[in-house]
Amino acid sequence: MEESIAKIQNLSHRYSKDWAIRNINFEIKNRGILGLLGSNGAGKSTTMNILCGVINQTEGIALIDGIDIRENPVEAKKLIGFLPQKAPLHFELTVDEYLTHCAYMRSIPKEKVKEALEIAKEKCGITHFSKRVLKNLSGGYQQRVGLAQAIIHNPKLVVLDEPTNGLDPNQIIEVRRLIKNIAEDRAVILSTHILSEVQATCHDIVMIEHGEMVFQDSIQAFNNYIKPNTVLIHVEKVPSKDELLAIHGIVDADFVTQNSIRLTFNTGPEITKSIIQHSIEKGWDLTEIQLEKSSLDAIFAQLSKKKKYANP
Amino acid sequence: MKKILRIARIELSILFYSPIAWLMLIIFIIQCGIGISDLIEAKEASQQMGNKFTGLTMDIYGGGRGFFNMVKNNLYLYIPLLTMGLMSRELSSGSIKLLQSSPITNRQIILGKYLAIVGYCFLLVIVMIAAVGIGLIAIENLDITFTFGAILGLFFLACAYAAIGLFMSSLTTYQVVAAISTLAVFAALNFMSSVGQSIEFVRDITYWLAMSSRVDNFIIGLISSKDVIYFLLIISTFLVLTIMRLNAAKSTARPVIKNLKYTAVIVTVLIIGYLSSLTSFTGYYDTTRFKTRTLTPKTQALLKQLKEPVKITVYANVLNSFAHLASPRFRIFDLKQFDDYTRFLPNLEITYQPYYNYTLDQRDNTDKTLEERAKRAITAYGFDFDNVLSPNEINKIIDLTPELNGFVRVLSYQGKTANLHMFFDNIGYPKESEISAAVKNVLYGAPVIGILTGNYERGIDKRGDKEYKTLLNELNVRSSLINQGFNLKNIAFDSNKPLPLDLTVLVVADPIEAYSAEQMQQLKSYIQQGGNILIAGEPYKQALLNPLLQEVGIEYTSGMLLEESEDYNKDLIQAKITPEAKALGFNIKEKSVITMPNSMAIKILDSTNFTITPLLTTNPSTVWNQEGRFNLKVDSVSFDPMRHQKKKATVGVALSRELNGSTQKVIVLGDADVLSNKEISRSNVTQQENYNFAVASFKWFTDGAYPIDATRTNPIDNKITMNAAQLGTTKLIFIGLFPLSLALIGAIILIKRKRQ
Repeated sequence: MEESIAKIQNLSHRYSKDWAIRNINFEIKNRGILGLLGSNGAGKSTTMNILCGVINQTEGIALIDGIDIRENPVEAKKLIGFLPQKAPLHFELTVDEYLTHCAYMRSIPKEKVKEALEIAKEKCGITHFSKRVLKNLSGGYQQRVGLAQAIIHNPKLVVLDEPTNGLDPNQIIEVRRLIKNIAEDRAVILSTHILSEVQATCHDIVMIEHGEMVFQDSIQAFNNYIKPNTVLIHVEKVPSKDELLAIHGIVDADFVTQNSIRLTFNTGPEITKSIIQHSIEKGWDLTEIQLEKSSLDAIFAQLSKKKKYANP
Repeated sequence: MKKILRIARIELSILFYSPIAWLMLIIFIIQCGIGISDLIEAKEASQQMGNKFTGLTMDIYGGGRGFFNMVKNNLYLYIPLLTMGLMSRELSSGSIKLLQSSPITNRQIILGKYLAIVGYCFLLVIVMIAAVGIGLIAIENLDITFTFGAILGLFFLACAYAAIGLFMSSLTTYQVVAAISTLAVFAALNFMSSVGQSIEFVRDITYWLAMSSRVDNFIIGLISSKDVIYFLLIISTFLVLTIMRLNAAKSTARPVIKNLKYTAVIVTVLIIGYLSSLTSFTGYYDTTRFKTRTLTPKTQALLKQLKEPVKITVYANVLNSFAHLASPRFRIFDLKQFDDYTRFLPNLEITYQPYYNYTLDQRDNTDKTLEERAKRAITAYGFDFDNVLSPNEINKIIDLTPELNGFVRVLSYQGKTANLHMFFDNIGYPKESEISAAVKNVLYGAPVIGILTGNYERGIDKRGDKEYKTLLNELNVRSSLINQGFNLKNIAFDSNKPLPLDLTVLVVADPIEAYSAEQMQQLKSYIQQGGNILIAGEPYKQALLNPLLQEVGIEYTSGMLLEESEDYNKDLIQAKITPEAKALGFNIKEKSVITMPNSMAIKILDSTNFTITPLLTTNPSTVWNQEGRFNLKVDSVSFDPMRHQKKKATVGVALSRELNGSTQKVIVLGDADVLSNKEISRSNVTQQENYNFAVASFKWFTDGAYPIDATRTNPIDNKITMNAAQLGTTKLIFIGLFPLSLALIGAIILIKRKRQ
């Protein structure tokens, strides 16, 4: 395993009474993107806020490059760039004014501020907007400025809390490309509740549900878990359930509407071939066939179950 | 530090990229401009009418109606609108996370933001300096140090307001809530000064917390370390609370611990505040040009002579018209009146002893019994019932009958006492000359004026026209000499004892019955042995006093002086002070008139071993001596050039001689009415100065020791040097040009940015 830039051990936090997160453990590698996946309210933002020293955890340790962020926040924060869920912008300022302010806040020496500014703007594609006032920029560009402030001091770890939230599909694509670009020479951790985002951008994944960690591995390993296992068919002449269960690999059939049936299978996606074959043979008049990917909820349910089995 | 400055800078620019900062500044300029020009214009108009002023700087800038007080009363409106966004804007937009995830501490964040608002307060200071600048041009010899002291005080106030505003802003994510709650805190702090005044402990704390009254000292020209420390404490308290609040939002410590921390901060502040309020640690700086807020050097030197703490006990009859001033509710106000003294006498102990007894000067004139009236007054003024002594109880402690059972402060030092009274004038309280006289009394003993009685002389206990009560013995009249350090004593002849020689002066005024041979002998031997004496007679009774006067080498001439006058009766002599009298210290203007109804001329005999100085003389062109008895009410008496001769007559003399190593002093007046109640309060003769003449006479007897002279250098800022037109132009610049150009600059910046 590669060396890690950040380590989270037994992290737990409660706001007033209820635990927001409980016993979170993971490491962030020096390079690449770690996705923190979880539904709304799962504890993603809490984890990230602790990691960036915005709040102090109730229990556990968060280390940035070996420095405890709670014990030595000033040193640890030098290594971090943070883009919270809502970009921390001062909308009255121009891009340059704002980024200069950020640069100073991030301890960049005066003589290097200009250079840092140029690099960050270049990377985020906002050089031509330098003199624009932030509130006059579109959401996508505001998010880019948010990204720029997170990388302006060339941190070893960039923490992005739902960076594509609220953007239109084009902007999402651009921002994702930007994040990949940023991750080329540093570690990035991003949180999201969108499964496809993780699959599209991340190398590693940590899943949190109800404040507890339910999965942690590489994206390949993850993809293995979420292989499709249902197929939806639309037929003109509806067969009986027994007929369907007779097909090798089909374990369940669920009549969704009059003509639609959801079939659960326990083999690979090649099951579609044999379904089509059976349809032709038995004359079901198959009009549509669709492999269904698991929904996030289903995956979470599945993973939670697995976790429970793993640690009884 | 660099980061603090950076935060301050960005905060200021955000402030100025919104209209609020511009608007506030413009309104402040206009308000200051109108305030100051109205004040100066009013004075200028008054000056055109021929009125004269003294101390225009204090008039226009200081004091209750001055410019600085106006600023003080308005300042609280500006600050909340500026501070409301400082934290709550960042908290609600989440931009605070930029700072929180940056390598800076919460302390740096708060100090940076505070510095920004302090920077804005500096702009307000500049506006105030500009307002002082108008005075610099418009007023002759403006007292600049004073104005800067006042501005410093207002700056402190603004900074304290800002610290509170910052704290309130950190408590909420709604800017409007922050602004309103800040206003509420200001109101509470101002209201504070009147809370719990009846309870000593609470009173001290609430008064200490009342903020804007702290500025008053700066505004009247006195900077004290106490007030400066107070403001620094308030500022740092709220900054620490803000930092703690920010830390607390981050941490997960138990609420109990958090509350303990807050409590610890507040307790620490109260302890430091208490220590700082102990006067012995207090340093003062008087910003006024002639140190008008400080006791005169003479008084200071006098106070240095005190080797032990002085104690003042306030005996207050709850029925007396001044009783409320001794009630707990007025305690702070009452103690404040002696601040000038506590500044130099940190150990001055003032205690209050309320009582009730029969008194003439009272507010409750109903028919109820004494007890019933006392009970009513005690409840009304909020005295502590158990604390108020009954007539019997108070009599065991002190006999207040000489004080007419009124309101008296007894100043005591090493077993000696001197009494301080309240006065029926617009100040009410004893001030420097009265208090210093009392201090001098307990240090060195009081001068005693003896009043000879027994032959129907003028006395000190009655209010009739002829008597001497007003000048000498009115307890509640400031100018009465009993309040200026003199003690009074009625002297009666005692065949077994000579007249006492330890008197400062013996007053022998207009006996109606002749002195017996024995009495005359006692008087003569009093003079022979060197006793000071003031003799005043009346026409037709020359014979009663001439034997005594011949002892010192003068006598009253027969007849009576009359003066031709358009306005007054012929018997009213309008005497003038002589230049020689001035040399003796009779500091009275040449134009002044000493009125003498029914006066005799004084004739100087050849044989005298006294040095004789004429004090008062008559007008040589209008006054003649009319022989024989007559009554102006019925007889027609007029000047007859054939029989009468107009000439300058001496109507008052001072005599002195060296005897047994000390100077004996004698004053003889041609008319006993000079010092009478009627003449002292006469108001129908312009520039009549009988009171000043009388005081000067007694002062001469005490070799200048009493009354205490607490007068100060006359102010030199007495003239408006600009005319109405020039003032109009200045006003136009201040409330028109300045704000307009600022508005223009602001608008350009804001519009330009809006388009970017």
